[in-house]
Amino acid sequence: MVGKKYFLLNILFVFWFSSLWAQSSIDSTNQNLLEQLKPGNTSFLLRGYSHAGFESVDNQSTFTIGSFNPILLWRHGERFIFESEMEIAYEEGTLDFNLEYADLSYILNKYLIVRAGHILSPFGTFTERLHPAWINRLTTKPLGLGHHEPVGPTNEVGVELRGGAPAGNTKINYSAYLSNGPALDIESDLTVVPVIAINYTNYVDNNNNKAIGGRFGLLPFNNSMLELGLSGQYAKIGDRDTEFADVASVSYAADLSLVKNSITAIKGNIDVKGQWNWVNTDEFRVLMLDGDTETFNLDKDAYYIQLAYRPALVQDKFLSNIEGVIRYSGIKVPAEVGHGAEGGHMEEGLEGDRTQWAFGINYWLSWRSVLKCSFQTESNSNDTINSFYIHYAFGF
Amino acid sequence: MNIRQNGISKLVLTLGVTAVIFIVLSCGTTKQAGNDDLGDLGSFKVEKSGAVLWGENCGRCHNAPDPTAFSDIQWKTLGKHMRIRAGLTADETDKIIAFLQQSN
Repeated sequence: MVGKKYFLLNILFVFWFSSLWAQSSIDSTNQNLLEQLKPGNTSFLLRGYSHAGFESVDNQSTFTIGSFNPILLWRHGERFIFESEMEIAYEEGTLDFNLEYADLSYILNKYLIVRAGHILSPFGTFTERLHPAWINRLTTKPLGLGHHEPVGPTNEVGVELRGGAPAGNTKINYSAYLSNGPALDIESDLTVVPVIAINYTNYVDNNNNKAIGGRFGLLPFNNSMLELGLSGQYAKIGDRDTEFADVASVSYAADLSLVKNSITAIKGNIDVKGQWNWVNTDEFRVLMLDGDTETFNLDKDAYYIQLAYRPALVQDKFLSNIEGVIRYSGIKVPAEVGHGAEGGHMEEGLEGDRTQWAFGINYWLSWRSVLKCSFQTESNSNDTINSFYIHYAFGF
Repeated sequence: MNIRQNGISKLVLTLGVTAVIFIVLSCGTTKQAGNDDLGDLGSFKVEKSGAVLWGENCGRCHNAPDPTAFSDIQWKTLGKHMRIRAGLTADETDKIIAFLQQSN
């Protein structure tokens, strides 16, 4: 009888102990899961920007929705970060939903970060750093540096090494990448003038050659007020197994940024930005509708220089929030081919070689919220188009 | 000379010119004599604070952000995002994040 009691007690003890152990194990698993989800290890953040306003281009006026660009950031631990930007905008008569970039970055050490996926090309600084509506000081983008008729790479699908490092009294930043590279688009059977363009959003590579490129930036002063950059890319752009397979392009860019805040002599801040892009391609022959062949290339260049001044040190609060901007930009394109556009707003009225002056007055409502008014005049050899814009831009 | 040879020549030339400019500027740069410059002071070096770096680096592209706009955790994520985007160094990124977290 006593033995039976001990036996039952032992059984009960085993059940109790196992349930305790199981509970403890479940608690431990839950705790680990909770630890993984704590903001200290994982952080999800929604940021972005938006702009909207009124435009009058060549005496045609309209309100415009501009664009809405949510940016998703997801950080895991100290080294891993995912970033993505989508753009929702009305372009070419339709509501477009574009993926601007989506990439994963891993911080290898103090000097190197490896990044893979769909990235903004490190080609100059405008596309990568300055294009967001609340950062761009004017309503429009410089000629050749927007979605419409881009001169030089805008996006890459590939892998990149990048970073920044101090170097004595100076500072450098650098990037090198391998990517699918651009693709040559030729539509010669539609019109008498063939539509030839370089497509810089090459999600699935059109050939087995991978583009190689990068950017080197130098900040020669230890207060980081000046940055000088050089970028380059080499790629074969023709489709595989075609007569264009060996057609190559070489692109270069030089960029400049000079920013000096709180200059007492002029009671304010000066911001100078500039960039010059060049694209050269091999010559290639295209079969025309009449049976003849003609030789083409896509050599082109685009540039801009911009000066902004804000009297941030004056006593009057209203005046200190005002900023004046002036920008000159230009583009040179091959005259004998049609140009495939990747969209654009109302400013896509003129074609061919042209220049543009833009003058703007901005009012900063906060550090990330601005009301922009600008006048723009664009000319080619035949015509001039004047435009007026009022836009509100917000970074969130 | 085809575009490949031409392109490689230009790339080599560009890299060479860049290297020369970099070496010259690295050796010969004199420090800016501004209030925000805390370079070498005699035999020891005073490191820049996070506040100074915040003003110098963020303002290169956009207005320097209000520290109260985001939480500590969010600043950490944003700081790493900006390190990648703008080519900031690891040390200055850490200092800027610490400043923003202390000031929000």
